[in-house]
Amino acid sequence: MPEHNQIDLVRDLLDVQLRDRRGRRIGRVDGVVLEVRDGLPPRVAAMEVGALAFAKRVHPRLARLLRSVALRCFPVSLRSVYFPLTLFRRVGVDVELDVDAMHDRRLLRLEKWLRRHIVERLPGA
Amino acid sequence: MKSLVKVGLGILTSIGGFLEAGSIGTALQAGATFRYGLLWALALGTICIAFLTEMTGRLAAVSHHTVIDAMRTRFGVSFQVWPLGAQVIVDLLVLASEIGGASLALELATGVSLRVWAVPVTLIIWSLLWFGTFNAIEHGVALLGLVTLCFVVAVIELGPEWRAVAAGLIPQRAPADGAQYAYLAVGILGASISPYLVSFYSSGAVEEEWKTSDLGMNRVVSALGMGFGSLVAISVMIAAALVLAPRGITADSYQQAATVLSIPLGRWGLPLFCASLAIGCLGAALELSLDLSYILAQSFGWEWGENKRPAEEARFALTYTIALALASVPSLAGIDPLRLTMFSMAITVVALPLLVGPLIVVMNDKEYLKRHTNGFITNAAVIVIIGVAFVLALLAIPVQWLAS
Repeated sequence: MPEHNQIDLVRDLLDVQLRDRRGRRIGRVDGVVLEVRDGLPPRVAAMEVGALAFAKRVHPRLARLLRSVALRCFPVSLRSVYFPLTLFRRVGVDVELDVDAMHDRRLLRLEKWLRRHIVERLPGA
Repeated sequence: MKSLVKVGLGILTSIGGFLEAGSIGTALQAGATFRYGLLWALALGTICIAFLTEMTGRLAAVSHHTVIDAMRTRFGVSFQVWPLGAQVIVDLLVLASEIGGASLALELATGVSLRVWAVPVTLIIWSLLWFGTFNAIEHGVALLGLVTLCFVVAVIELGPEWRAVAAGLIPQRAPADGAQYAYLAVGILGASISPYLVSFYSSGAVEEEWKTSDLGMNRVVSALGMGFGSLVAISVMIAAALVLAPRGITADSYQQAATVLSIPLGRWGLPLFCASLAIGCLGAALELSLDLSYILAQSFGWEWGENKRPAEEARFALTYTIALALASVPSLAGIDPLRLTMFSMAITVVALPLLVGPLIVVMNDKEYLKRHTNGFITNAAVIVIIGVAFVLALLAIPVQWLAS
């Protein structure tokens, strides 16, 4: 059983909801990256967030399909974003990261594109 | 006092929001064809949905997770995509049925084809979501939905023989037309055990930040709300049994069934039938559109919330926009709303084990529910009812579809 200051990677980290420092939801932990070191135990290098990481976990073929569709007709890149575990801070059932999603160009790329190019052009948005 | 108001409002919205295309359509057909013979299916469905909403409210109050949240974190994406995909399909089909039902109510009232009404109906739903605050919409439409109580008034006017009504609560031997009897039972169960109600209720509970101190209120609202709500659906079935069945009207379409209120309520009958159908379908369509956005947003970790502007959650707003556009297609194509409704209800029942099974696992997990996990009765009631509905669906659907 993990101690209170340990994280169970699958139960406590994978798939958990992420929020930025303002409390805005910015995605879920779609993958966990381990760093393999010579003669030392593996170490958690980063949390991965991104549609391709999500698709790869469903099926590698889905990820390949999504990548080829995205390259042809997606307005934004689907590259994953990696966060070091040092940013990890548990707040209730979610994890808060010390980032500002609205000003960080790596985050919410599709959301920002849709807002700028479609939603804000419609009345009442 | 504040919690009493909360309970009262919760029960009122459940009553006002209970009737929609599925429950009206299936209750009318069942009453017209088998009189009170399928009341037991409605009672079973109501018991199941009351248990399910209580469960999801409890999950939200204890663990602060919505159903979708809990499913993704408990089972991971590679499993969760299956129930998610099933719920998206079911929600879209039922949304299409609701748009069809509301459009048909307007056709009955005006004589203008439902194909023409499908566009304004879809635009009204979209505008309410886009420009309005969801809290106001949800409570407003559900309170307007109290017009459906006209079915209860009609039943009191008609004065049924209550002993015969009570006998319908116990399943009888299937009549000669067994396949249709079973198919209608499946439809009624699918209409009562609506998966969208479950995820919608849990999203609201998380957003209102329910705590363990709200568990009592949750129990009362889910039991009484669904219980009183089902009285309206029971009234539809009784009214159909007393008005349509003796006249040999089988209610194969809403047009045939529209006379159900004309005898007990006179010249107010048709306008009240149209208003009940239109408002019931409109309310359900609003909840379904939101539910589609909720389940995708919660699965992928997007921003979601009842009272945010579209610019604050572009993906959320565009999801219900696209869903509404897709769901309006069957009505634009002139597909009969009642047939579409029966089809959607049958598909709902087939998908139920996939949607409810994982929820039962979560509800028995102490990591999420601590000491508030499901008891034996809750587990048994839900598993048995979903199991009966699923087996009935597997038997009845192929026969009915081949026959028609």
